[in-house]
Amino acid sequence: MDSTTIYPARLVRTLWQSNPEATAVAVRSGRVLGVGTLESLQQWGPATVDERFADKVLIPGFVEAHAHTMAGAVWNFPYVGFFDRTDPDGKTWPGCKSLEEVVSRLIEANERMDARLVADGSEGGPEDVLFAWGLDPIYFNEERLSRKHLDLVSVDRPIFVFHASAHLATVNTKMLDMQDIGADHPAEGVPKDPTGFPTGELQEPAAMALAMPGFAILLRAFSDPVSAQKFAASCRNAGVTTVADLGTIQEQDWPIWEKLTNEPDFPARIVLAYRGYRGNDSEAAAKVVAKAKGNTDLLRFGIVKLVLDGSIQGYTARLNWPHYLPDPQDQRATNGLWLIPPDALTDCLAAFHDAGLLVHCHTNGDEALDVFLDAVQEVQLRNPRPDHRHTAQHAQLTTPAQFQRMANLGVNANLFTNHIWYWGDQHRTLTVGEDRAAGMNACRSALDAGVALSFHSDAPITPIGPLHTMWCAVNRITSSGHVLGPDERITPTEALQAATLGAAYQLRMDDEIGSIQPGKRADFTVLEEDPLAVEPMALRDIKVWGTVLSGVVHRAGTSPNPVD
Amino acid sequence: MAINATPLRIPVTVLGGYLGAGKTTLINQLLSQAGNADPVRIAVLVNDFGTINLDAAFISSQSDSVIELSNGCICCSLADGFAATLDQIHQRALADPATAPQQLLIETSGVALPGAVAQYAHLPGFELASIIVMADGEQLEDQLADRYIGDTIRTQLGTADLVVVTKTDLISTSNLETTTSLIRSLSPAPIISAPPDSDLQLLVFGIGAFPPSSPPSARTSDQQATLAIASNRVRLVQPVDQKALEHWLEAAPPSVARVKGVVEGEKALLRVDRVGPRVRIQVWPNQVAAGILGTIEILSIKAHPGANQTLSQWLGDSPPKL
Ligand SMILES: Nc1nc2c(ncn2[C@@H]2O[C@H](COP(=O)(O)OP(=O)(O)OP(=O)(O)O)[C@@H](O)[C@H]2O)c(=O)[nH]1
Ligand SMILES: [Mg+2]
Ligand SMILES: [Zn+2]
Ligand SMILES: [Zn+2]
Repeated sequence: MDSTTIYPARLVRTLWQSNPEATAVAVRSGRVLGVGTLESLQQWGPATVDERFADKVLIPGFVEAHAHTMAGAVWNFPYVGFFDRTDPDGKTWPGCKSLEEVVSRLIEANERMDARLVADGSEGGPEDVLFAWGLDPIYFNEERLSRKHLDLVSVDRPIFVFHASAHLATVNTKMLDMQDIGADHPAEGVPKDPTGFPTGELQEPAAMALAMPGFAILLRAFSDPVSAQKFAASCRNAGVTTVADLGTIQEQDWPIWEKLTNEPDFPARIVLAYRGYRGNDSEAAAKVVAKAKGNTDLLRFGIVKLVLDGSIQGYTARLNWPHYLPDPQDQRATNGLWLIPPDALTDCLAAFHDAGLLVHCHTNGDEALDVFLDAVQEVQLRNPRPDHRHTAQHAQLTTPAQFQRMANLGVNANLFTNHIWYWGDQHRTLTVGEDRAAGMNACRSALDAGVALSFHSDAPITPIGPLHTMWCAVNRITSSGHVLGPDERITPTEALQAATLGAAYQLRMDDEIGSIQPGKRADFTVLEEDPLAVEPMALRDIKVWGTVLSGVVHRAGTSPNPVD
Repeated sequence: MAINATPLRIPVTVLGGYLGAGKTTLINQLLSQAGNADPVRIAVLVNDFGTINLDAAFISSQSDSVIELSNGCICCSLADGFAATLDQIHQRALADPATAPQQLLIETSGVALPGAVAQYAHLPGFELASIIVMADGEQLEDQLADRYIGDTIRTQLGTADLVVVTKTDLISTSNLETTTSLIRSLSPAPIISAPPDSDLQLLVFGIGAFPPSSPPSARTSDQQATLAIASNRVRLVQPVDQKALEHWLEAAPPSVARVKGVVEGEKALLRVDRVGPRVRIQVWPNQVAAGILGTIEILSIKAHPGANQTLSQWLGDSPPKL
């Protein structure tokens, strides 16, 4: 018989209604054997008592149902964003609060690259690009990063700075020259300065791709096993035990994840959602069904991701009337973009629905959500599937009537509460205005309508960190300190439920994870404080000690993958 | 149309239009003609291989992302995205110029904005030839009124250099008139309905091809008569005044799909392009054969709906000598 370990703790918050609080949990064969007290668990016979969590709080392992594994890849490169951010090694990179700070961070990175070349005795070639990421120029008053700033860093080495929005990059003069991007370059998305020369900003992927040596780094990052390790380490540091990559890992990279998740000390359970609407969906559905038959504990298939529209901050989400606030320059279209033709969605959804798969559909705007709900209704009429659990992702502008319809159709909401902090002020002033911004990511309305709720980071769009995501749902504070729609706040208890069981439910794993209950996986997040006892404003400051994943202890920390 | 030498930059034609407008049908026709009398190596970029109608005997090799056809054409999947796919084609072309594509055709998704996709044509090794938007003659009116997609289709049509109306066999003449006037209210581009098989290559690639180095293709007058597109040549008096040239080009009647040529300007040779409604005059740094210099080739749609200005009148107004 496998051995039993009992972990006494300051508090075990089980999220199991029948036994909500405990002071010890027993683990056997990677699963929860029982919860209760050190004494009550003696019923199970001899056990090792492991005291390391005696002064900690155990909660069910956090489940992040919407992130992207490239959140790991970016940490191969220096971070130049506005907000402080912690890398997978546990090092916090302070935010760059001015363009001067961006430039000095890049100068340091450039010197490190020089030192490495000297150490390797190498010359460096066109591939030797200084790549940095996370820039959010929206926060630097009116001044924008240009090639002139980057030329202060280097005139010999090409530089590519990828912006947080993922729609822009800024490059230096060396990169422009190398790629022949000059004054008469015909592409849109290559703005020129008053002298007629490109400013160095490259707008949208078609223009970013002109700087191919830099852009190629982005394209390659997905299939880099080191990035995959870093992603899993970031999850562990944030207390996440199960994470879904929603549709960025393609078939050719599945073997990387199969190999990594088979290593005994891999620190996260990975759900790889398949990106649909890329060719024959019925064939794709059969492939995913077959693949899911080989699921292991740490690698799961069976979810499908569809992307219906764009983003609200990029003005590409599809909104119902009255659409976006007017554009002072009058250059923008009145509404956003479709990525799947509305007419094609029902058949596409049906291909996966009929195969028994669970579909998560990116619908940022409320018009896109209408189209998704129509499609769900139609596939349900054609081929009723009880308990389908199809989920609307982001659903940021969902109205009360839509939440009600979602509840009636059994569609779940995975809301993007981090937007409240990161872009809430822009939404009030630039995208949709004060009133609709107050109703964005409306967790209260969702729960009141009876919709199964979770929320997400969409890492690397915002950093992975369920405590922060909960904090946003509970406090609804923007980065300027404004409370955005106080009536949509939810309680810490509801937020904790959404970040654990709620997300597990949307991945159809709530029978296995999401609460601490006999028979479930022994997945715990180990915290220094009780999230239901601290001041709501202190939620995001709680320290994560580490995690337990199927009974294996993983310490949040310094090296990419330490195992205890 | 004879295109033999591989150009330095591969001309890119973007084929847009809403779901079911007939984009793949057009590509299938082109691919099946590509091996005919005037062979042209076409690279086609599509989202979904499954819809391209390929005879197995016609396929000479196949991988997950590229299908090579026995007539020298290739179909490439866009699964890796535009940038990576175009970069691969560029690298292949550099490695083996003899088999490099002479024309590249991108089928966009039904909701893509072809103007945005066209920006990829500025990547190294490529040149934007034209944007062709297909309109479903049977559905367009309803589609434009649709709450979800009306604005998308309007934007698509607005960026076209040429609009092709399909499914005209399914509608009455008066419905076709309604549809074309709807299109004309949204787009300054020339409109052609249901292009006949015979001059598809000329229609799709002729409007993009540059430089006009080849002599007029030898066609019999019988062949000419069946074509939907007329090819005219005018010799300009040189050197030309650039401003006057520009005004003249801008005044072309809406039936003109393409104007191209190299002429002597005041200080340099000028490359002259009008693709659909877009006029562009640039310095031409290369040599050009004496017989070609000063000759402007004009492709126009013979049965252009509602062309209210006659071609011959415009041709007669060619700009005066400097
Ligand atoms: N009657 C008629 N049918 C046509 C014509 N052109 C295309 N079709 C039919 O219309 C349907 C759609 O044509 P496709 O060429 O696949 O359209 P598409 O624009 O590639 O469609 P998507 O790739 O789905 O956006 C097919 O069944 C074609 O056979 C036409 O001129 N007349
Ligand atoms: Mg098609
Ligand atoms: Zn999304
Ligand atoms: Zn996402």
